[in-house]
Amino acid sequence: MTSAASSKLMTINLGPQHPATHGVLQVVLDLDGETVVNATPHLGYLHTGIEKTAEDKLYYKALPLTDRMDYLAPMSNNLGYVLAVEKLLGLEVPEKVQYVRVLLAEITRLNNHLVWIGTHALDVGAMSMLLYAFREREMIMDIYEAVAGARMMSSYFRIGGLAKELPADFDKRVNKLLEVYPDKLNQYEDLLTNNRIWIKRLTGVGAITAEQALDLSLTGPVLRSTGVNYDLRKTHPYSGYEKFDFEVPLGKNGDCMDRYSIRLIEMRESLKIIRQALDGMPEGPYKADAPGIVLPDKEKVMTEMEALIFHFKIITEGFKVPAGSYYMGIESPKGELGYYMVSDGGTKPYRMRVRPPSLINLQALSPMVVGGKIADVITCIGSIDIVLGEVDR
Amino acid sequence: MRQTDLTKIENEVLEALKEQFGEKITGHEKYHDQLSIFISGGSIFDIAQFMKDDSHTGFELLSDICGVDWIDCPDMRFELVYNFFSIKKELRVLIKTTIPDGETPTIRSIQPVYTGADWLEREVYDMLGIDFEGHPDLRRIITPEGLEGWPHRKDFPLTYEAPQFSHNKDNPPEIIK
Repeated sequence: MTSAASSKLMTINLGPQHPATHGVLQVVLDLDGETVVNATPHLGYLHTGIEKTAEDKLYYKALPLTDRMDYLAPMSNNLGYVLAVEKLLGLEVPEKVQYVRVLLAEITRLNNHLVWIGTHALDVGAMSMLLYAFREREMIMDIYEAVAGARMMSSYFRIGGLAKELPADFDKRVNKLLEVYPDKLNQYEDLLTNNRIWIKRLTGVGAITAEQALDLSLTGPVLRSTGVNYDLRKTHPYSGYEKFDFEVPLGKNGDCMDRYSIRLIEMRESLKIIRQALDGMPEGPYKADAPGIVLPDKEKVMTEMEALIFHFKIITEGFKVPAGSYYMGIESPKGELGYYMVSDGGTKPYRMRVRPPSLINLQALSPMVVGGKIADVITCIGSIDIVLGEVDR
Repeated sequence: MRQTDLTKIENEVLEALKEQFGEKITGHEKYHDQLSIFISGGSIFDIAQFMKDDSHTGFELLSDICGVDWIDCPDMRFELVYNFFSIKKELRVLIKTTIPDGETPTIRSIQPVYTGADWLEREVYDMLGIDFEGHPDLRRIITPEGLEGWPHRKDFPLTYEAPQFSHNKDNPPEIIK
């Protein structure tokens, strides 16, 4: 090939219908042979206007919209929303609710990381990981189903508490999960960590520095892989995270391998938190005592006049939230998930802004892949861990 | 729950900003545990630089940029909320500024200071139609090219009307006729 021919760039479309883009992400790649010269992501194929829709919903009706954004971490998305609204209301929830929320949020982190490890390994070429990860994920789906009645779109956390009491066999299910998972995580490590192909495909690929990562507003495991200690569970504890003892793993090189190891350690730390939350779970009500905001018990609605009136008023009119604005950031499995809620004193949010970690972390794709090979683009997309439902909202 | 007393570290940031920018800092508010500082629109670029570089403040992370449409106040219709976080100080500060209504509401881009503002500003442009001066690549990011109107403005219909694209403008869908 002459040098003139080799310097001619080829433009190809990666996606939007490509299984390795984890949804409907389109990346336009300019290639020089196999080397990526330019990568431009095109978003919006899954845009459903969730922020705008929420402006027309009562506060409790906007809640189910949130778990449709990041459908791999529904409980985390609910958590951010309910905490933001509770802050505006000035509502304190019972300690038991905090514990249950932390427990389920950490189970959600496991769920998210399991799907991530399965699909990421599949992208890189290790097919069996997907099947193993989805087998273990089924236990989590069963827990979701037991507590909320739905396997994915749980909407179990409500403003001021939980949707209902935990099921009787909840402890048994979580204990079973805690018993099984450490072994399974060891199995995954056996399959991947020392696998020569895995090491070659991940080490040094998609490396970014700490300065770059901070400059690009990255959060979550992508930022922590560069060695920056930023985890909102530690720096700005919410929902009682300060009561739990856990470590935040940090990387050094900021490459795909570091992000992989960090997420594996995070899963083990999540197990630690789940254990502590389960053992230390206090007794108490599953919702705050806030008539007019929290729905009364069904039994009381059927027998007491006041409860019936409150129930009717909440369902038909909703409740007023004092005027003000508040930004609530939580550490979702993918990074900092923020809800900026603006209230004008009415029964519907004046503005609900979601800070989606997937969208902002995706900004790092171009700096990560430019100069690398085309096969590494897939590795990097997988390693950033995006869900397109959240990128486009 | 509005509060008046600031913590020591919050006070330091506020004083440093006031000393540097004087009257451009128009006020502050503490809501629950969150500090918001109000500034005049023209100074956002300088303040962003100060927030990032100066050893007094040192906010490494620009978490978010959010646009709010206050349609009832034309003088300050668009509110932009810049969300800064300092990992060293473990402090979050919201910097709020307003832009009056107009043909194309304009504010200076802070993308040269925080690269991460790139897509955040594109999203605000896409949703509210605010022009960021000095942004290298200001295009719609989420809605398709050719969409007319700015979806997050309060006068953009929420339901019951199909959006009009440039390709179907002359033949609008049945529902609008």
